[in-house]
Amino acid sequence: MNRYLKLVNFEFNRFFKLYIVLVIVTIIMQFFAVILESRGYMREAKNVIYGDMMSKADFIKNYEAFTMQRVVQSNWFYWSIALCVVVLLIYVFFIWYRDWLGKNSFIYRLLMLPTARLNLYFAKATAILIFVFGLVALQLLLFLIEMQIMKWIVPAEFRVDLPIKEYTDFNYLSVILPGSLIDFLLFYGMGIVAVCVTFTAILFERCYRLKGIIFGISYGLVSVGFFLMPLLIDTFVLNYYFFPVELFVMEVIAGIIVLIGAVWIGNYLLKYKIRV
Amino acid sequence: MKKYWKIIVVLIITVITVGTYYIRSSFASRTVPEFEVKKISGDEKELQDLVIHGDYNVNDILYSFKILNGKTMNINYDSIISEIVELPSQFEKIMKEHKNFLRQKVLNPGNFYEDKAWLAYAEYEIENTFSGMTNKNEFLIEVLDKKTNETVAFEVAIPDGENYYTININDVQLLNGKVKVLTNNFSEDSSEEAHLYVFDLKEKKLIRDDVILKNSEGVENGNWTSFSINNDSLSLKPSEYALFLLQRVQEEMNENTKEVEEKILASECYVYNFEKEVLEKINHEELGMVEAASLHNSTVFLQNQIDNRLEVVPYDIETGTWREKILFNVPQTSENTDNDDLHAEPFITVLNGKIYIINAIDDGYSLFIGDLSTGQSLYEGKIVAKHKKINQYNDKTYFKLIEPKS
Repeated sequence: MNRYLKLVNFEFNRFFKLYIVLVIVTIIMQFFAVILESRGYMREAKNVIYGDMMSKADFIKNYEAFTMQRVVQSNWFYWSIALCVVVLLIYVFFIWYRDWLGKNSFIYRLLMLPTARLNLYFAKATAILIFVFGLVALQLLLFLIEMQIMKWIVPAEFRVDLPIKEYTDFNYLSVILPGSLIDFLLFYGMGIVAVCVTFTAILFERCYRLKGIIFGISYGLVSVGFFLMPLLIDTFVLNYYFFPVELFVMEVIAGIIVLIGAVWIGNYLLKYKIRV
Repeated sequence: MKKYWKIIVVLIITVITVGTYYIRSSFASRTVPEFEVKKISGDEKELQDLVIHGDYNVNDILYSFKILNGKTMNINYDSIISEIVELPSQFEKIMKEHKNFLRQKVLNPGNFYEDKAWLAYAEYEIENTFSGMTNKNEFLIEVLDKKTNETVAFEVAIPDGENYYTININDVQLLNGKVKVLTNNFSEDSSEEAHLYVFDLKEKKLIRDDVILKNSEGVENGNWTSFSINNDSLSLKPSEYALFLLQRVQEEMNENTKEVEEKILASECYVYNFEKEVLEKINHEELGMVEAASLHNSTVFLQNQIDNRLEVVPYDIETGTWREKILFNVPQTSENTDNDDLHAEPFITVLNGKIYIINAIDDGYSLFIGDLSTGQSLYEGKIVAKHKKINQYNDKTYFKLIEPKS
């Protein structure tokens, strides 16, 4: 356990500097989004109210009151999140490959550690998860600050202040912040399964190199296929025999089996087949 | 410990933030206000097991809400689990008792029939190949004998099926070993027919296909005939009659509000008897236009709004007589009001011989429940929004359906 924690901390610190950069860039991009959208709206309001002699009430009726929705849907906001997603996706691969880089590949030392090699696998997965959840938390904190900025720029009569929940419910943010705790666990549970399957696929490549790419991809496809099996069989073979609840339970079980499979195969590969 | 400070800080921040977000949002920090019905007069019992469905709209976002027993129901809107588990309330009991019968079926009350001994189901199936050829165009009939738990199922090709591009099943009835399926058949040329298909359970075949009513008039310069079958489609229980309403509708632009309004030019009302298989026209000429019609047991209620009054005229199908008309005060939509809230049309529903009228008033909505057989007021109350978070002109409330909780 202690070894595992040390390894997690090690993996965490290795990415920490880049992570901080990512956090700062996100903050800048999102503040930019809030300021741009809020000021743009106020400029429009001024133009219409003073230029076209429209009353405030009529303006709000015709142009809709300002909500964070506009900010959330703006380009800068969207790309800030896309950036984080892409960087973390790349890091899912890089977290393994960096150990093989350089002259004295570091993986050699890692594999020699007097601990189960599976700990390495778990530590890397945990580090990825911490980074993901850290960014989710950052988004929530940023929402609070951004709403404050918005309140400074847009006067109350032009605004409708809704709780954060309303912005995360109806667009791409619902993927990052699902509506309820159960959904959160389900979504990110699926994410964990996906990360582990990817890790195992990477290990296939690391064990068998060129041939391993084919193994890895086939393994990934088999995992996805297995996960979707209840749905596919129900749709194409059984002609929608099962009720949604039953399918849901089967999907959860299928997901757990895929996860166990990924860890088990990953363990085997690390133990017996890994090449340095 | 010192070595770990960075990771510990990140973990603590994460757990606290995400945790608070989900814990707090599960404690009603929703935008949808809590609606409550406050009694003004009448019997509180009228609200029991009554579900009022509505939509609440802020800016571009629409929320659905349900009021049960006079209070907003605490539904978990957010979880996909609730969507997975959700079942139309009519099917809850059947799901417990005859689960397997419901498999592979469209859980739409119109497609089902239930009495003490039987459960019946009809489905319209059409399947096209990629080349556009129809390779399946049939009815699927399935009947369960509740006592023996035996099912009879068969498929029957639809006669002249190629003439219709879609068929809507409106109601299913089971009478003396015959399944009677009432449908709306739509043709390519936009004409519409009401059919009754009669299936024999013993011989497992279609024995009759009757065209009950036909509406062949198409749309011409904003003028069309609407055709509705009105027979308490939410219920699975046996019904003796079906009600048809044909209305010639003219679309007009209102000069004041710049909104398109519909004007009824002509209306015809028919009652169909499932057992005798006969159609009877209700002569309501002296009543003027009929805006809406509804059926309860063997009484038809015709509705018509005249100025600030809603006229309801009951017609007894069995004796073929009119009963005395009942008047309700329903303030009409004022056309030049500035307040958008008040602009909403009154919501009127007739259910089990009672009329429900919801109307926008200054500080909420009025709810009126009246007995149609006596015309008396059973309940009067006010629907008010508690904990309203938004005090802007941007929010609107619509009521869309009132049904009994089954």
